[in-house]
Amino acid sequence: MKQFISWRHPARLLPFRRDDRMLLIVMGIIVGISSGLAALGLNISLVFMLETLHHWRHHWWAFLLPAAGAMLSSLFLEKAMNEGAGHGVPEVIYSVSRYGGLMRFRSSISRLVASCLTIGSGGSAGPEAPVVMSGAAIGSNIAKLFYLNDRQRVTLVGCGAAGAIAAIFNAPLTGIIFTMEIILGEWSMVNIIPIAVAAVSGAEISRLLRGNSIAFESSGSFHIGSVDLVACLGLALVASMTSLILTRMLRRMHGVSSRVSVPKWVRAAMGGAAVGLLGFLVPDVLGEGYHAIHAMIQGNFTTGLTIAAIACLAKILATSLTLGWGGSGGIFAPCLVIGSFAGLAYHRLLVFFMPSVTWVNEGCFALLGMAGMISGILQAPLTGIFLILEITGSYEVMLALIIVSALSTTITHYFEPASFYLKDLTERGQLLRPGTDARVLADMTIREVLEKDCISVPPDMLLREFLHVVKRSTRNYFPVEDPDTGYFLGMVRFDHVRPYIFNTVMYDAVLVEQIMDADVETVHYDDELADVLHKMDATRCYSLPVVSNHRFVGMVSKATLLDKYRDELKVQTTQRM
Amino acid sequence: MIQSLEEIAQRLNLSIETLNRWIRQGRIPVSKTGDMGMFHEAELNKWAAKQEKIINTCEDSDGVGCLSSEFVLVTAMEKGGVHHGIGGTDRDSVLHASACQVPGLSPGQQKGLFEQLLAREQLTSTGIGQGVAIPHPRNPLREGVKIPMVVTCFLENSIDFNAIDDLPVSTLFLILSPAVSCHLNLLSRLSFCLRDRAFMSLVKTGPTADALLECVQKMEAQIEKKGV
Repeated sequence: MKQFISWRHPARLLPFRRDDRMLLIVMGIIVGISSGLAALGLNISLVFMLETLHHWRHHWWAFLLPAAGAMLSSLFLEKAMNEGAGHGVPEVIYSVSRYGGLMRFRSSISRLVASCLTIGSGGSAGPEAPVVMSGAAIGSNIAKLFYLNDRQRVTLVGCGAAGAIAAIFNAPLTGIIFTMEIILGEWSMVNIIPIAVAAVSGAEISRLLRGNSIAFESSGSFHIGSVDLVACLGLALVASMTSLILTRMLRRMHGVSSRVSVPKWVRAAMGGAAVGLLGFLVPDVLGEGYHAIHAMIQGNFTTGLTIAAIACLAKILATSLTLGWGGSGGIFAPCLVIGSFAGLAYHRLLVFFMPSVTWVNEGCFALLGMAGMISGILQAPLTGIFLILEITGSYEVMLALIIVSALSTTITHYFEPASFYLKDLTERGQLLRPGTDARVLADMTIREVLEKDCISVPPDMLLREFLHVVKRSTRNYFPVEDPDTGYFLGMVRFDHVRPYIFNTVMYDAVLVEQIMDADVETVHYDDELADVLHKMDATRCYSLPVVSNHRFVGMVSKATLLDKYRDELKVQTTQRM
Repeated sequence: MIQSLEEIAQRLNLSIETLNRWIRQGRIPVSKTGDMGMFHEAELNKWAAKQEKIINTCEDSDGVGCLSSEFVLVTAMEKGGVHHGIGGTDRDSVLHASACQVPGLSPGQQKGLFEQLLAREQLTSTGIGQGVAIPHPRNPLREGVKIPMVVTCFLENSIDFNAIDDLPVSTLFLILSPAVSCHLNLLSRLSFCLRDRAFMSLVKTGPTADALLECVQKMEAQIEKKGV
């Protein structure tokens, strides 16, 4: 049979039908390039905004600039895009786990514009998370355009995120690792290859247009001695404490701001104004703050211990004021800045107490501090290690980097079990990583495990007739339905009738409604299976009736559920190779 | 290969909702075109093997489908035949004579059947009263009996069978079935008939095959209508 295959159905082409890897790689390149372009677009417009607004920075009313930016971004998101504020990464993760990566087209630009307004005007936030969301939305919509299925769409969402990160940092490896560790949460060959390809094309686009430069290159190489390695333990502690403070502060700010009963955009403006005022005291807190990192890595940051510590805290405050009060942007860049301030402060502290020891260059500690901070906040040690490695190009700090990242992740995990991105999702029970119990249950619906082979009986049936029904039935449960309305009235459990069925005297004396269980626990079509199972455990039932619109539609039982659950688990896990 | 989604779901023993979702999520090598599913036979088989899933072939696993079929008893009695004037002076000789009446058995199988019948009688008598006995082997016969049979034997003279009511037995219903479930079904239907007074008085007269089968047919129609 000759079939017409449109270019929009590439998955039906013969070479791709049986094995779609090649298709995903080709798509990965397209998605990687597009999201890389989006990332560059944001980068360029940020630079443009910074330069335009630079002339007004010295005026006394400059503190209103961040306020205006945050207000505009909040208004834009709320009124024009109809989306909530925030950085967007949890939304991407949730969409990947629950809706097969389905995202709205407008998401691909909404966060870009909003974060550009917030950061460009001086708000303390990062452009990375918005770029990730935008890249993910681009991937999702390209998948939608070509009618790809959920699995392929999730891969393309990952490709988008990887391409974006790779482009904005010029760091392809970080793109891959970030996507695998945080966005997808699983390491599978089928995914890694297209995502790697996308990361490479994202980075390549950035290199073509911006030149192949390392973001924060150090001036010389670092020579790390054993004393420095020991000092790294302390740095890991400092970094994890700082990340704890940032996490808590962000949440606290969010709590405070949500109690202020003014419109969201006023709230954002208030936060922005506060950041602007803070910027008068410590100018380094404004914007993404990369120039400060640059100076620190180079070792040109001349301020003393106190100033460094204050800058660190001020940046934390500014970030929580920006993000907690409704500005838009990511946590990545502020983390890097705070981490390097913390590293610097730690270095100054070491020098202050032990001046006789020759420590490695302070830039190295700033760098390690960034790694520790990222690993602590994101609970993703690999992302931290690879990001710092790629954006500083200092391979010689590898050992120290691993120590700080691993330790910082572990220590932070004691106090904050869920990472910054996943915390909200975990609290709402929406973190559904592949192959987990919650994910398997969330994917299945009641419709799929429904058993319809129950025989229903009217309430005025005699026990004698009922026993005839029992003979025909293969089940132990009999729904009782009103003969006129068809409404579900209750349940007869054979277990309850068993003692009486051999007593012939009762055959004509007992009616079905006298033996039925009237206030039986029921479930509905759209209940989550996890809730259904919880209900079963609470009532100690092995089966529950499903009632829709007052009518009995079938039973859910644990036995069938186990059967389907295993099928689902196998299907979800064997695809990973 | 193109099949309707229902057929595929049935083959894979899935609900149609699950199949639809798996196709949407890309978890199964089937693609959807309208209501039809398009797949590659070998690819799907490979997938199923990986999932340790059993694919039902199109033909139904042919178990002994006697539970579902209607009028089992009448069919079995027709197959077994109605025999008059079975000779014999005691239980063993009567049983031996009846075993020889079973159609389609080799002499060796007849002997085996007789031994099994005897073994069953030694356990407890199968004389269930009112001159009727229902001899049967304890276990379904390995060979010879492919379909359920009830061999009806009217004896030449009544003999002592150690029946529960101590009355001499003049009628034997020899029940042979290839499976236990089948045996129970036959037995339950036969006992339903034997409880009926009209049927019993008919049996006592030693009726012809046609008369007997007609009566059983009527009784079984009742069973079909409202259950045993």
